[in-house]
Amino acid sequence: MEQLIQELKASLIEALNLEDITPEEIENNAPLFGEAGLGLDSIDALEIILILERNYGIRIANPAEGKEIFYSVQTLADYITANRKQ
Amino acid sequence: MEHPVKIYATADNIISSLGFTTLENMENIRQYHSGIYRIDDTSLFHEPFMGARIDAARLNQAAREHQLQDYTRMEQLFILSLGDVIRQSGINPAASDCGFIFSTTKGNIDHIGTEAALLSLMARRITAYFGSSHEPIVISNACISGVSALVTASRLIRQGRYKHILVTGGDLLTRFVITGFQSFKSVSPERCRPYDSKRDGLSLGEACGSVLITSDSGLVKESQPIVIEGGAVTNDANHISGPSRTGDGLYYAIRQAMDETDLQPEDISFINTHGTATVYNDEMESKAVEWAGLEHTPLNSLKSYWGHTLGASGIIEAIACFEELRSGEVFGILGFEELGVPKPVNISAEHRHVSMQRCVKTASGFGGCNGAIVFALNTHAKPVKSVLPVSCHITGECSIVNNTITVNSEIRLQTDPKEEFATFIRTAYKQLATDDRKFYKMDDLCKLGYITATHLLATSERYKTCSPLEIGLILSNRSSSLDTDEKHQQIIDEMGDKEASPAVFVYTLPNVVLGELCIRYKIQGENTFFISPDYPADFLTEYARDVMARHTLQLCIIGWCELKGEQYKSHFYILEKTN
Repeated sequence: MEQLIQELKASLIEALNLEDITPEEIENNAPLFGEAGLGLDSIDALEIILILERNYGIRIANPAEGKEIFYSVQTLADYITANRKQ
Repeated sequence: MEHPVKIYATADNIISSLGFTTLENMENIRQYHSGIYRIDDTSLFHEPFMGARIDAARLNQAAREHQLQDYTRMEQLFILSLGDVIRQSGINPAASDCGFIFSTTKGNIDHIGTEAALLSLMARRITAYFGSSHEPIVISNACISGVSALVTASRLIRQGRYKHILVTGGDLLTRFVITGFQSFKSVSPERCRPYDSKRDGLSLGEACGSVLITSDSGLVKESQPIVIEGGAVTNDANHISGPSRTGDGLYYAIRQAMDETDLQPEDISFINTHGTATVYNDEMESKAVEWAGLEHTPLNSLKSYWGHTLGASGIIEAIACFEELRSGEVFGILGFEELGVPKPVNISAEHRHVSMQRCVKTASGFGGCNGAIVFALNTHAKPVKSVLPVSCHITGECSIVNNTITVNSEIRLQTDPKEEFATFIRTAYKQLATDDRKFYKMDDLCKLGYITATHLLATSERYKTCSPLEIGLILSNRSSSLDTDEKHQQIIDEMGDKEASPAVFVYTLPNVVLGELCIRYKIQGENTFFISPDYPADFLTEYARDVMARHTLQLCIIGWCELKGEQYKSHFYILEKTN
């Protein structure tokens, strides 16, 4: 799990252009979206969908389904562990 | 100088999936025919999708008959469509008082990587075909481009700059566009269903439409002439791809357009919205329509007939409005069953007979832009309120070139001119010492615009006292968004259709620069992006001055924001209305 979390943080930083943010600064349970968190928005959610499909073979057709899954790095990692195909 | 003239829209043409003339298109809509079908063509998308295409064999034949084989498909469409309008109206397109305005988001995007992809070069090839020596005006304002072009045409004629303007809008159904919208998960697997409770996205289409806008009533041959009464363009200042959650930007555009002739809701016979059939767009529109007091006014969207035709949509849907005004019918929304928007707007699946005076046509698009324009039957047209010329003055400027930032002749940052743009602009951002987490998400064109505007606005006292609607933004450049367009094309070419990145695709429109600046600096007034081979500073200043005279604008940021690879240059200035 820890390895998956580190891997996810690195892909998020790269795919979402989170320059100036280090993996250590992203807390596992902190919200990713909204002003309180990393300030991600709907375009970032679509990019996360691409990461899930490309890296883990998980398909999410409707971005609305992703709301709870995308809450934090931890919820993302849990979902990937339960559903990964590759 | 204000010319108290009536602005007519006369002689028009539509080339689309529903035919090659306006008449043919209208007959198909009257019979509830849609041009949207399942398209199974892997040169466009790796799996079948729903879209609306122009009949290729018929276009090839028409191009052969007119000896247009040396022109691209997009150019052939523009020439055929404009040619029809020129024949019908008898206008001399080469006359010195006749201008051209092009509305397009992507033009020759199927020729990306070649010079043909430059929008102003494409426009010049077409105007040269018609013998015009004027520099054509090109507007690339995302999905509102068509409405924007009609608003601009009526303003330029009122200003006295031209007597006639041939306005044309076109965009193609290409792999570039399809993969981008698919990456946004905004394409419906079925034919789109605007305003319906089961709507789940848009359908893409291609089209080209043209119309002559003129102040010369002698050129108007229709028994029921159409007049443009007013128009406005605004910004949501909310998000670069998501529509406003309140509908405020679109409401302001409708209100300002209606205010030009002091119209009340009861003066409007129907409203034709953008109605793309994405969940959030139609929801937002219903809120804006209710806010404008038009919730009881018959409303329609024509997207389930033609699909979303991008830069053509504002023009061809406006032409449909003219036909509806003349025939006294409001076309029904094909496929509509049950109202699925939060506000109770007045919609029907069937065509309805309505007593006609005038209508409002709206559009909204990426970059947060909104446009609204009012068309009236000549017999009901009200005189446009006369406006007094305003005096304006320039109060500050900022330029960035050769890795040097200059504000009012004072150098603020200078690094080695050989340093890469990415490194330079990062240093420039760090120097501002602000915390804007979205800066790194922007493409280079937006970063350039952001740094220029930030330095410029820091010098303005007036900016601090203006409300969002009192501030406007009018920019121009040469290469549109080609820098990012090439990145999107490279991704789909090298990695495949499914790898298209929404974070890249969203920046394949130049007016997203306007959107980014409007969000950060709470700008909601006039918003237009012109594409031009050279910096048209005088034209932009005159244009802003006219908007100031007509609407609530007090301050306008005007400029040039050009970037392609390592070649870049920006120059912005502030024009203030003198009190």
